[in-house]
Amino acid sequence: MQCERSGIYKSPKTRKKPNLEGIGSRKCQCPFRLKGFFDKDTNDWWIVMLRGMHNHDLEEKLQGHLLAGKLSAEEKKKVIDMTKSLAVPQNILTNLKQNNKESVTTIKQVYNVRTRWHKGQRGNMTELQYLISKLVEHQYVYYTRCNSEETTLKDIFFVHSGSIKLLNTFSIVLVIDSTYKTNNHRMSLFEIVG
Amino acid sequence: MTYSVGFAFLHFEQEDNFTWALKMVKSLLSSKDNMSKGIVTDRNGALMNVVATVFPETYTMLCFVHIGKNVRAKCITNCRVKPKPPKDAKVDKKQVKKDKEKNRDVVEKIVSAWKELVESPTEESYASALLKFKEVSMPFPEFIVYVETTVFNLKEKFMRAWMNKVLHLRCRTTNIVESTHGVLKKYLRSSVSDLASCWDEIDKMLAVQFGEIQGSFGRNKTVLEHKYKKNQDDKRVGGLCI
Repeated sequence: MQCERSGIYKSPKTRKKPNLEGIGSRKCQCPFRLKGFFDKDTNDWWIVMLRGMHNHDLEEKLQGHLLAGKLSAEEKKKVIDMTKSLAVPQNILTNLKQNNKESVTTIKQVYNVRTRWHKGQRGNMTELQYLISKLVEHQYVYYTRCNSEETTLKDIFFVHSGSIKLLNTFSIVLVIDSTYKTNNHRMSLFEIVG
Repeated sequence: MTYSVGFAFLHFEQEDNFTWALKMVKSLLSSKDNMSKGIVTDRNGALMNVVATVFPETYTMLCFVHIGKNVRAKCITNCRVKPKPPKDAKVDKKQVKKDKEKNRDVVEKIVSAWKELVESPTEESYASALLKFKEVSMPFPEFIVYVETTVFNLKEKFMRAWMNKVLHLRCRTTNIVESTHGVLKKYLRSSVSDLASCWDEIDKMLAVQFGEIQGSFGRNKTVLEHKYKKNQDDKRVGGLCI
């Protein structure tokens, strides 16, 4: 057994060399070691201290510690549920702290769970593949149009199946307008309302 | 109650894109009888033309609030009691303040005349309101030219005198679509999400919207207004007496 700060930093194995500028590590080659062994004759566990010194001070409080702030599976589910219903990370954290008075979770952990969930949801699909798969799944009627070389999407139009029923029943007056600042592709969102 | 018919992400705001989107809407209508009677748009040149070509049988209307805003903005820049003095000229501060107040009064006068003009219910009252409007804005020829060239040629599309002849269900502004934009943006929260997450939010919004609409259908079926209820009771009482 060793201290969590023993050893040295290992960079992740990626094709691109990671940029380590401005990044630190908790590892400080701490020499603290314990050894546990099992005595077969007496059926007892023994623990032996090999080296009893840390080369760093112990932290006084648990806040900000990786393991202490870890979210349990139940809490993770709660974070995801609340994210789905558009709760802000700040509010999610408040909720967690209210339910568990001793929780030392920080906002970072909430954000991590959220991004992991977002990434996991899409899988390997690109943005448009995901969009279209969802449109099919939820029985939307959609039309797309590409530019002349069929490489990039120009326009996409989609309608909920319930809307079509309503449209065919109440189509006396329609109002049309478009709005901006809805997506990062600078496409305008064109909306028709009845 | 408002319901969203459809959404489209358009790469450009050009006639070509609008035509495509509107043709898709048209293809969704199951029969010609369901064709809408009127369509309201804002004063976007491309959109106006396209609506007229794709839906030739419907009456196209314009949002009078948008036009009113344009008129007011033009009025503020064009209708000055005194022309703007050159920058380096000496100005008397009191005089400037007075001028500003005068300008404000003139603008308010013109705008109120404009409102009366838009809201005049019949063509006769429209004519008299028009005379008044012209009289008020007489000293500012630039403004009159603007109004005549850009606005009056579309008067059938937003003036109340003409609008009263068609079925518009009191929907003379694009207010309802602006409000749904507002609702949607509350769901979106950020303006830099990608299309897929945008759709996620739209789907959530639609789920709520359909729930509301179904609820209103249910309420309308079951709830009876009190004024009608009273009559029923009366009848019953009368029946018992006899």
